[in-house]
Amino acid sequence: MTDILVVNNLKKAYQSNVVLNDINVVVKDQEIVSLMGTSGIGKSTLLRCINKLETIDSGEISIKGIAITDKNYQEQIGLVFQNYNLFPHLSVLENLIQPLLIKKIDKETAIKKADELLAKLNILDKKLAYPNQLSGGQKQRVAICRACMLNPKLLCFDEPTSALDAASIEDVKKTIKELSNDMAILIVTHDENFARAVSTRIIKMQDANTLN
Amino acid sequence: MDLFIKLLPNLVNGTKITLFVFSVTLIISYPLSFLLTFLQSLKNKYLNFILKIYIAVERGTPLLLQLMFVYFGLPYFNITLDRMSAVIVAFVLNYTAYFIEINRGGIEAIDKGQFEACKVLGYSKIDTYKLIVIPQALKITLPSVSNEVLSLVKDTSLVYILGVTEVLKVGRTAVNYYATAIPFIYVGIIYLVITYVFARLLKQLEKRLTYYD
Repeated sequence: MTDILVVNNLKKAYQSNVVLNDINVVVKDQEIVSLMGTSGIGKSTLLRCINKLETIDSGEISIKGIAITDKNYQEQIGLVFQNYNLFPHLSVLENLIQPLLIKKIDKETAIKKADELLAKLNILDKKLAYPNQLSGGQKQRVAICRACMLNPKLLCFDEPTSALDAASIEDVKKTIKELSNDMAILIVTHDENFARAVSTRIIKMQDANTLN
Repeated sequence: MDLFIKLLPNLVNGTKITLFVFSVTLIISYPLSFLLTFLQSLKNKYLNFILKIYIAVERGTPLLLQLMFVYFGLPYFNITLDRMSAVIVAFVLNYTAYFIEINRGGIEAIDKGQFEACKVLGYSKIDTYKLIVIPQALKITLPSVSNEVLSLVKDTSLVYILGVTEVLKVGRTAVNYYATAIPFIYVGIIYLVITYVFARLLKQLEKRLTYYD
């Protein structure tokens, strides 16, 4: 399997507080990797660095050989936020197609892609609804669809089970496994049962520079 | 009734001036405030310093003084404006400053996650503001904007200081000429009707924006 995400010697500090020190991670194609660890250990910071929501102090991050400094990097990665962060004033369909429209992809192609993904995640009937009309599980499925619109090579999840009931957790497990046929998955979670059930590999973060 | 009929043409003309000052100010200052709010968000310290001073001056001095400065003071700097241009410049500068502050409050109330989602999805800064931030800020700030809009209707009466004949000046002239306070009642009714209409329109707009509450 080819390497998708490669993190080399990553360092991140907030003033004198070193959160990540010499971190190395590799996620291969079709892998589902869960990143676990106690609160404040730095796993969310790592996820945010990989998604360019935090600047890194030193080290290298690349996805399928495309470095984080490359302008095409962002298209290689998708992120499903813990709170989903859907745009409340846009319908489900608009949430999905707008990121493509601003990249000058024609509307017809964008709608076709959105319909395919919504159908795949069994939420096509909600495409004209607004986020406030959806349940937590439905919102998450929309957020997954939105993150997949640009066919990322790596899909990241930040605490995917934190706001879900048992039935929705089962749904998201199934969805993640299905998605892993087309991309690599990186999950940050506290939920050990979920991580064990869904992951092909679990990385435990013990402190700023130890990954097991 | 005779007096009303006599005054009607002047009241209509005065109301036209009031509505002209009101609408031109609103049409220019509100969009301009978003442009300046966007520039403020770029965090350029020189630009933000200038904006800070501008907002402090506009909010910290009376509009009446600003009107007089633009019309009577600017000629000392070789800038001469006719009465109506001076009115529009002073009003636009004043209301833009207030709208910038309202916008800033609205934008600060938007969840940080919305900005992060835009970043992850590859939105440029301009697209983030145009497509995500401003539409949401519009809704958050609409009650405050409504108050400003209604204040603007009433503030238009200040243009009398530059000799512009808006509806209140028509009333004052009529009161002096006919030695009766009745024209003030007509003027009051005209202001009430205008503010009522705009208050209703803005309320409807607020209601329409509840679709994503």
